[in-house]
Amino acid sequence: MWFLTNIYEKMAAKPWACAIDIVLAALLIYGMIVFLKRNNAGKLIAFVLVFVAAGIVLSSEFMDLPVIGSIMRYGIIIVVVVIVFVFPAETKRGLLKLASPRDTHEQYTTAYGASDEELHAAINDIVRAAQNMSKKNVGALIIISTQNLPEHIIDSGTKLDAVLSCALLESIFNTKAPLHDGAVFVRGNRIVAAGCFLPLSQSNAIDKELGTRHRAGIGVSENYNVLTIIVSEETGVISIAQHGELTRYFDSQMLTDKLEQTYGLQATPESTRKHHRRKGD
Amino acid sequence: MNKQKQESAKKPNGFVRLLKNIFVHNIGWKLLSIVSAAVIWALAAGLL
Repeated sequence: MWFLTNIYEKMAAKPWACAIDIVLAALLIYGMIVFLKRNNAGKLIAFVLVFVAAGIVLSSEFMDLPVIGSIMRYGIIIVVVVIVFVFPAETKRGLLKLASPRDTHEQYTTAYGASDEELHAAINDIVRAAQNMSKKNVGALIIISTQNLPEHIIDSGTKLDAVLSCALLESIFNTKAPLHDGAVFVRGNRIVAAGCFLPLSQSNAIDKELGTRHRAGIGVSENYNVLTIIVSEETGVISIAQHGELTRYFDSQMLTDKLEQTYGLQATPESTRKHHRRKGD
Repeated sequence: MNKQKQESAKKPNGFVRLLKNIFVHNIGWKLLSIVSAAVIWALAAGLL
């Protein structure tokens, strides 16, 4: 009862101050949510909110816990320090964007905004482009993502936001084109960016014959929930990296099945069985 | 060219876009922020 009485007294004494306090807190929390979502760390949202609420309860006079209370009282400083250490590049970029807010409204949503037919057409174009580049021994690195990639990866390349087509993909990876030396980031039926630089995998288990392109493809799939299509420049072999694992020797049908799975256009178990059967052949 | 004109005519003007940004875009996360802020404020006001 005293809990409700306290709240009532505070609201009755300074109602405007209470409203401003809640609005500012909501803005702060929304900013934190946007920052975490954009950097693929959405899972931390619940943790941070529970941490703040627990901090308030444990540091209250009612609980009377001097040690935990003191730790929690300084919890916000700990959270800020952890964010700065865990996301140094993102923090720096965020501060720079605050200073120059020209394109702050730009963001990438997880919704594809494309019909099933358009997604099927995009899959056909990706498969055809991969096959053509494989035949000509042109290296390619295509990231298919159902979620957001961190902005610093997208910003390391050139933003395109163009409708995906076979000709466009082949043009990007043409060895004389300026954007060929990097990854293309595809979401839905759109090419979001090209020429992106990716984190390289540090794994020792990767075959020494595989070059930097494969290492980059595996590296990005280790860190983020993406499917990476890699076409080898030396052999023309089409490989796929997902969850840090590389599967090689994909033909057009296997690639189509995998992409349809990824885009949610096909039931998973049947196509997975088909893949295993083919891999065993 | 005509298609481009049609597309640009379909685009909402600045004020509508601002309203959409405030009340439609990411509304779930905005509501979560407000509810979380209210809960945290109530905890702080009631306990501290």
